[in-house]
Amino acid sequence: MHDDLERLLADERMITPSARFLTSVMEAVEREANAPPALPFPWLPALPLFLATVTALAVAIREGLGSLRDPASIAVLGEQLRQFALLGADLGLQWVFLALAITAATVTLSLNQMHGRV
Amino acid sequence: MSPVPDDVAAIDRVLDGDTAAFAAVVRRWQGPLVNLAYRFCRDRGRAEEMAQEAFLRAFCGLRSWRRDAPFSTWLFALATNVYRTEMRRNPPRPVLIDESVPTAAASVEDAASEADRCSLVHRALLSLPPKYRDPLLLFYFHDQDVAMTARSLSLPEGTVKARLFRGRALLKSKLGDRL
Repeated sequence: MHDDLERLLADERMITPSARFLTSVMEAVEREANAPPALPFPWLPALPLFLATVTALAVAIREGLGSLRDPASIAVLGEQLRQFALLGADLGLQWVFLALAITAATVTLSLNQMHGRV
Repeated sequence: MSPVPDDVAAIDRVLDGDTAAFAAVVRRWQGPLVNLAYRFCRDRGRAEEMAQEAFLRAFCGLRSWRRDAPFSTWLFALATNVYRTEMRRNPPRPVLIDESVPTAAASVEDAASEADRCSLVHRALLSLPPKYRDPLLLFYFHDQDVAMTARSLSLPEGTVKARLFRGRALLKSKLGDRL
């Protein structure tokens, strides 16, 4: 069976492109060549905003790291996290997260099965 | 499928702004590209659409061809990428192998003809997971050249060999005693 399978896999009939194929491709190529060029990203106008974002991010990181060195700040942060966890528990957020996790797992499993990866 | 000086001359002209020179590239490679697309989808019309998309991508990305590799290697890798994406987007209709061809145990009159058997094998091949389907498709398209298959898929040769082995085993188990 192995040799038979090999032979059948290698034995593939060749098809000839239709007479219009070349014309059709060249029409598409001409359309592409004559299409207006894509607008370039406006780097110059965006530069001040980009620099401001980077600066703000750097300041935030520096402040955050600085506050982590202070024991009082860590205590405040811990208290805030505890309150946030309590609030989450009151609102039933754990069930929302569980539902989201189950949905994500179901979607991933379905997609994998669709693509034959399972 | 080896590169010819005509390819390079035509590509140079296209890169210099002579769009019409791309016709020489299409004329030379239309057969292989349409046939490769056909092996992925088994539909003549769709194969031509997929090959046209591959040529269009090649035209747009011609500058990215580094001349240290043959043009054919670059073109086949690009086309393979286009076809695999298209097959992911619109997978072929699944075929039930059990219903397509009678088993080898049936009477001589019922036995599948050579063409039926060939068709059955190729449809079974298309129903494999892409991870095994694509190396097998390309391996037989490239006249059983593992190196060319590996380059088309941008995979190491060892990986391709392993997937060919596993793909054949899966194919045999799918076909059972129908050959």
